[in-house]
Amino acid sequence: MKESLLRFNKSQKYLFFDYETCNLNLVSENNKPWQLAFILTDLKSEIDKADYYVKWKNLKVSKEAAKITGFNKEKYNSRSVDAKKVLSHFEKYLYDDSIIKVGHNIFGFDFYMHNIHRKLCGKPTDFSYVKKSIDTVCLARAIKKSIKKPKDTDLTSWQYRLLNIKERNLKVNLQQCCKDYDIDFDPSKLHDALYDIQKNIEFFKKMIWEVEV
Amino acid sequence: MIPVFSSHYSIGKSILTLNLPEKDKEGGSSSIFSILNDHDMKELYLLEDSLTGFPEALKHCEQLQIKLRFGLLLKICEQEHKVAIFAKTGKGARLLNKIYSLAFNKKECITESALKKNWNKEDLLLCIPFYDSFLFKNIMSFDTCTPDFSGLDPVFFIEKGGLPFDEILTEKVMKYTKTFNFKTQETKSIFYKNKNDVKKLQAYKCICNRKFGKKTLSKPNLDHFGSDSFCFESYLEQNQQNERITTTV
Repeated sequence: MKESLLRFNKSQKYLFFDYETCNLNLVSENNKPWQLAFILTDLKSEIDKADYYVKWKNLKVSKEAAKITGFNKEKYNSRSVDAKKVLSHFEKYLYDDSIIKVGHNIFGFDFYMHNIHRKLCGKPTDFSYVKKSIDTVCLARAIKKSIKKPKDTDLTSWQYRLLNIKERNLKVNLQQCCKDYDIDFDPSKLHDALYDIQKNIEFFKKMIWEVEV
Repeated sequence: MIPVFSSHYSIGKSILTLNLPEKDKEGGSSSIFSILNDHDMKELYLLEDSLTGFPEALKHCEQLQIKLRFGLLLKICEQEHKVAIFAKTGKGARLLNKIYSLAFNKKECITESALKKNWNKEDLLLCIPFYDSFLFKNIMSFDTCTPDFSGLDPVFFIEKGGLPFDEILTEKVMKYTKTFNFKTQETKSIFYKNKNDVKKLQAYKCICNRKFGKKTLSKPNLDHFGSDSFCFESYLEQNQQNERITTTV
């Protein structure tokens, strides 16, 4: 049924989110997620928005990671908020099944960062929200390679298949997606979590008209 | 739930050794036999990528009066999915050796027909691992694996590995086994002793990788290596959790 497609569901709420971390390790508790931004939206307006710096003792951001993510120690120290408070606010939406969770490369990265965040807060692993999630990296690959979602395949499996397509020339990073959809993009702000998800929302709105989800 | 160990003989996969418990050194690698000894376990399910560790495992099992259930993880040539073949008897171990020789003669895989030709269900048990199976492949790639298990009576492993796709994979396994009336078995793959040892395995994987020097712990580039649950500590936790659920019910 075409009517069930997201592009026609005007009341659907989405939680866009992005973590910034110390490095790219998916399991190490040393890789602390130090910034979490999320926006709850119905694609017309923002319902809730947060841009948290997450407080950790002994946070060690490597020089390379600091350069890439624009990490600023003074800003971090002045703005950082208790990790459990951040998690609680975020998970109020994350574990709400009526909300679709969206992000760029969340299947390959941010799911794991959220898990590290939980573990550091003394909570067990809980990926129950994964089935209600959309990764725009996967959508971008589907669009670029003209891969349609088969009717008998669930959205999560289909996205994992797309995630595992490894082709050197298939560029689907955030910057490229903005370029593909004629969205202004300031490279100096890349990897600021809030900026990234604002751009993510912009091209997601366009993507859902190109892919049958 | 069955703990299924692998040792360092499965290169790049496990950091556990098959040393006798007295050879364990503090701060050194942990031995599977020490773990069994510490928990008074008299049965070892050992699943390896090769038969290299089999003589050592058998020798030490005999010495410590532990029953060895040895399994070989093999790739099926046709659709490149993996199966685990366990020897149920001494004759089964000899059959496993024959299958291993056939598999590793040329391509490091075995054809479905060769497997069936050498099959004897009295002596061998076919198991389908949770990860790396054809169902896993069907979820994670655009391949469509449709193996023919007729006459092999496979048992499908089900695991809680703490990964985001566990739930959809479990659903797939349950649906498939129900359709074809195959058995399932809850298992736990064990590649290191404690959760904290995951970083040691990760470092070992970075070293073993062909792109040596290009992988670091800050940028390991190991797809979905995002769980510290493939360990004995996690097995104990899940076992206790299962016991609590059973008691409550």
